[in-house]
Amino acid sequence: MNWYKWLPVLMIASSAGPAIAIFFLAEESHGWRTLWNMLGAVLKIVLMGVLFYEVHLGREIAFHVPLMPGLTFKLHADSLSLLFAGLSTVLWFLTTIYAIGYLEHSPHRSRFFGFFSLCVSTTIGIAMAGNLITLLIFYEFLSLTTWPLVVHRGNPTSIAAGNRYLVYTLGGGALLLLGVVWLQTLVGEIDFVARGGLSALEAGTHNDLRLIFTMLVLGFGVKAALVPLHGWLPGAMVAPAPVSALLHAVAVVKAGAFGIVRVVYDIFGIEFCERLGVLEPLAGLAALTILFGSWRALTQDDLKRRLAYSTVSQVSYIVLGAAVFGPKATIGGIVHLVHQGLMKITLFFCAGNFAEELGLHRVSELDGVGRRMPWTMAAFTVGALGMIGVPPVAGFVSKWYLGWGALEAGMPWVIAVLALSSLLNAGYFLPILYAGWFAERTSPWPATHGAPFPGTSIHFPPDSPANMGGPSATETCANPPAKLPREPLMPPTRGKHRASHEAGAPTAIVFGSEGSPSVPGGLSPASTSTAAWEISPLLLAPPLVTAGLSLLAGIFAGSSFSPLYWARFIMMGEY
Amino acid sequence: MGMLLVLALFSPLAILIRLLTSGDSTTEEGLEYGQGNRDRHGPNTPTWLAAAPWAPLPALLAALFLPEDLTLDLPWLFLGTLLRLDRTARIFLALTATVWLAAGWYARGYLPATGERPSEERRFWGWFLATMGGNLLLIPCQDMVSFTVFFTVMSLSAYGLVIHHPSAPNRAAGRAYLALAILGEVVAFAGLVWACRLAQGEVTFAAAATALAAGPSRDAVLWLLIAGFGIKLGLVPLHVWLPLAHPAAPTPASAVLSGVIIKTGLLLWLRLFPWGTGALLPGSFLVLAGLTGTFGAALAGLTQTNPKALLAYSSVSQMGFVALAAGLGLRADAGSGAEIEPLLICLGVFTVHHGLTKGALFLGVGLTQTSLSPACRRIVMGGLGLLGASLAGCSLTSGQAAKALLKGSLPLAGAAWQPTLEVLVPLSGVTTMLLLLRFLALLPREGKPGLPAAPLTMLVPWAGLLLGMFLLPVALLGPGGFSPATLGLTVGGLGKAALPPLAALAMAAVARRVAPSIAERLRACLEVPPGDLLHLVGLFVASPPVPARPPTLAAASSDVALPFLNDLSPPSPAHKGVEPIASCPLPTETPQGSQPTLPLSEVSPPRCSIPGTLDPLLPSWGERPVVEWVLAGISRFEGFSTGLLLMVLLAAGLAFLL
Repeated sequence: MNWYKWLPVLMIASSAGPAIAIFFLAEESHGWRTLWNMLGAVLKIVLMGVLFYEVHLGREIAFHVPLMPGLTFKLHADSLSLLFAGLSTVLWFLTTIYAIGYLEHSPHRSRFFGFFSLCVSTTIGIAMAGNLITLLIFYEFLSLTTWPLVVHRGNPTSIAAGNRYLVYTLGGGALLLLGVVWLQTLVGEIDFVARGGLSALEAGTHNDLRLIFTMLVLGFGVKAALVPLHGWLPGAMVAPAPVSALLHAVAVVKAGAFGIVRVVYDIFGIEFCERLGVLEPLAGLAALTILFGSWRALTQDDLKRRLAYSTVSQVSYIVLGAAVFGPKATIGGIVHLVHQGLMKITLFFCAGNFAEELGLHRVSELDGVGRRMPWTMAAFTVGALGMIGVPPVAGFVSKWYLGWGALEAGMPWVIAVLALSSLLNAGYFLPILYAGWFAERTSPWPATHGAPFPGTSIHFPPDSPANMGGPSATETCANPPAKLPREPLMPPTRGKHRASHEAGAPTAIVFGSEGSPSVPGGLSPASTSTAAWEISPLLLAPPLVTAGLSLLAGIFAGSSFSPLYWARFIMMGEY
Repeated sequence: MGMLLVLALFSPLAILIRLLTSGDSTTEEGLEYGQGNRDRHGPNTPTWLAAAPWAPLPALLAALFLPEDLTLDLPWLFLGTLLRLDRTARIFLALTATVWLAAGWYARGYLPATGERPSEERRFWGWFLATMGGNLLLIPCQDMVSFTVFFTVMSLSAYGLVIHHPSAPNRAAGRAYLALAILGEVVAFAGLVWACRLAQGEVTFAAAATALAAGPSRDAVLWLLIAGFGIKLGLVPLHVWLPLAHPAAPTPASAVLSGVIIKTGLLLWLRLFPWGTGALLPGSFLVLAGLTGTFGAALAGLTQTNPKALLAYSSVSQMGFVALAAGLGLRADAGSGAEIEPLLICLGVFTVHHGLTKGALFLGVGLTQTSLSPACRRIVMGGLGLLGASLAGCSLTSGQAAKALLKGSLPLAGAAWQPTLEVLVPLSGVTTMLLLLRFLALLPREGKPGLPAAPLTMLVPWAGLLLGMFLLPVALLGPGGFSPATLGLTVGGLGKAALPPLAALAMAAVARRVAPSIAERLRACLEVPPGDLLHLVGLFVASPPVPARPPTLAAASSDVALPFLNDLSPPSPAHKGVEPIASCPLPTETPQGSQPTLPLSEVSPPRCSIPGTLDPLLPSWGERPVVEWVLAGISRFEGFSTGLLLMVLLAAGLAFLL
């Protein structure tokens, strides 16, 4: 009896347990909820560390429960599942912190955090699934548990987006189910094993296998937002920022991409896929998605929608990496799973901060935001440059390996796709950076400390902590940080107040909020106080950490603590 | 010892971090009370400002005193980093650090003198230090990834320098710069990845160059590298950002842009090109592009009215020599006994010569705009004349040495091309000298009213670079160096070198004496707006109507700004007292670049004033009918129809199963 075979189960339970506990908490018990959330998040990180250690030692970690004859519920931890689970765990921890700061004053918190934790459990389940059936179970669960989060705000837009999301994902799930059943009838139960287990089948079944491959890829492709199955993603951006950040940038779309990676490498085996000739069409689809997503992003004015299309484009890099035959492309695709997650979550955190603090939702409103929120904007800059593929941010490493792999496989056109995509990425990200850092602000901010749910009727009295940027505003005024924004800010508005110089420097000046219905007139406590932090630390720290991580992942790519190192480790098993 | 090198090169970034983290109280107070800025470098000088001009000094010392071939292997950094201070790196590092040092000290005097507010000055130093950091750090990099990292840091930071004064024309210039820089990055990325693939994953330049020489896809990679780094180098036809960005940037920034930053493209070529492997097609292209640049840009520059735009064209023209020499090196076949080594040395010498000279020329422009005393002004003008003569390869200057070395390597061109080149290279001295005489004529005769006299911090760096220009041949003659004959330092050689500049001088004198008005009218007819080919692109891209002439920057930023310096659009003919361009028929002998003159003034700058987009080409890209049609077709699938599609697939699957 090995104790460590329970580790995957514990990984799932460490967030499912708190989820159940949170469902039973009253709406007001803020402290308990936070405690449960953080307990689960920290526990999961600890378990993750243990798992990494065990797997690196080469230990076999698997957990079986027979469901019925020929069907086994199997969890296991191999290097690939750890990559995805590790990413989800770390980002869940950060997103939980962010969500606590973002949502603690909105309605239905228990419901939100409960489903949020359940989502993470199912994501971990997807990562740890040991065979297709288990993966399918968790995959369907993920669709169901994310739906309440998409429609969390309850307004007609969210409901419509949620319905569309359900149609897409359930349709995809059904297709997937068909594929799995068909495969099961053909070869019986198959586990995920490195290099796949189908290559021994006789040539007569190859046509069936091609069709099964198509069904599986399209089924997963719905969540991975492959064109033309991506229609749900931009709509789902109505969800609150933490949901967009973790689920739509990381968990859900990655679950799809991860499923495709599993199918290619651990069901069929990449070499067998190459023989079947299914890789080229997949690569073509991925390339189309990359370019199409970038092109659509160019014309979006809504910041989150622009980011969503960027996600459509970037997730397909992972698929592209899987579809190009060769170890280097494999590394590039797999490492992009992590890199894209880090960079995109940063961008969504920052977009949430702009919306939360200043009421900025559109790209055309972002002029001069870098002076008001320099740290958030700096984090956004790192993420955006990484997406373009500017070294030394992590995205460059992915692109380097993808390009190298494509050349290795004799597909130079992929380089052209990567280059064109970089140009398009630059085309839609650089204007944001320009607006943020260089453009002059000519109009007041739409809202300061707007209520997180514009669709609901909740408003707070002007002097409540919600309007003061959380409990931090008073604390930090007494202890001004040593670090300052680079540029003091001088936009011409009537609510302008100068920071007090004796206090040592708070320069982030809060404006009177003409647009906010909750604040009568231009002079409210919120506008006279000067926040030393540009936004509550709970909201500022997560994007700074993820931006730092994506920078570090690029700078220290060659070291043995980098995602790249782990991706190489995974690749060793697949060829 | 290796860490010493890293520390030395890292100093600009360290000061930058200090700048970013310092709560600079003077900044806010200056803003608040609108205080005069004259005395703020007094006792309360912030530490970063005191240190900033010194930032390149450690790098200079490292270049001079650290042992040669000092190697530092950092496998954990990026994709495995290798730093080595080889001969090339030392030469480039010494030059780069010198020019940055001069420009930094110059900026220390220039910024207050031109009335920059403290906040603007701070912003300038931020970008200045970031650009410097990238530029210094990329030099000892011996692997492609770390080189790209620092190259990118430099390229992107320089954008902040270009749009330091955010007027409409400057922003347009910045857009052109950034669009081309990103394009260059992307193309270069493709080339480098390909080289890495050929080298079986080795990222070091040495491995890649070897693999490239033998590789089957050598020419494809070469084309990518030529395009990707040719943009930085100002290779025709990718040079269009230079005449836009140089006048837009503040003078010290222009000096480094033209003096050293454009040379980084050459540095990569030196490291990665498979010299002497007979790459006929790319090599010939480089030779031709180089010749086109040398003469075309000189002619286009002659028609300029802004001295900084003219200098930018001169840089394009001079970089034509670099391309020419590089092309010769690529075409040559070392297997059949061609000597490549002298050519590479020649490129190194030419780089140093041009870096010092062009840096000093740019700094001189700023000097002449301050109110110098008459004697001082004469000295400055004289010095600028000497610098111009040096560019033209006049005797006893660094230019003569560089040109002599270049001529020495012309036999590489082979019997077919050599005679032509033997004629063209000296002839370029004439055009260069004409260009520089025009430059001298364009310089203001007296300082802008309201500008104080140039402080010593501006004069000394300029004089230093000027001195360096004269010392270069001396240094080359030093122990272990060249023989005087190689550098053309014989009686005959001196005479020959003096001929082209004298000829140009005579031509200019004749034109001035005989028919100054005709010359001016001819110039106005042929006038090429800065960014020449970019305007051609504008003819083909349907862009929304924009005001033909964006408002001159006037002093949106400060009352003593230098509109003259910063106005990138061609000054309206009405100001010059010349007939409007439109009424002037195009003469038949129009140089190649200037054909669009007529329509240009109407369409001109198409890259202005589209809010929120960096590159107006991009939005219109999607409006091409076919592309639009295809993409719109796909985007229609974004609705519920995909759900339907899935259902159909489901049904098909079911049918198949049953």
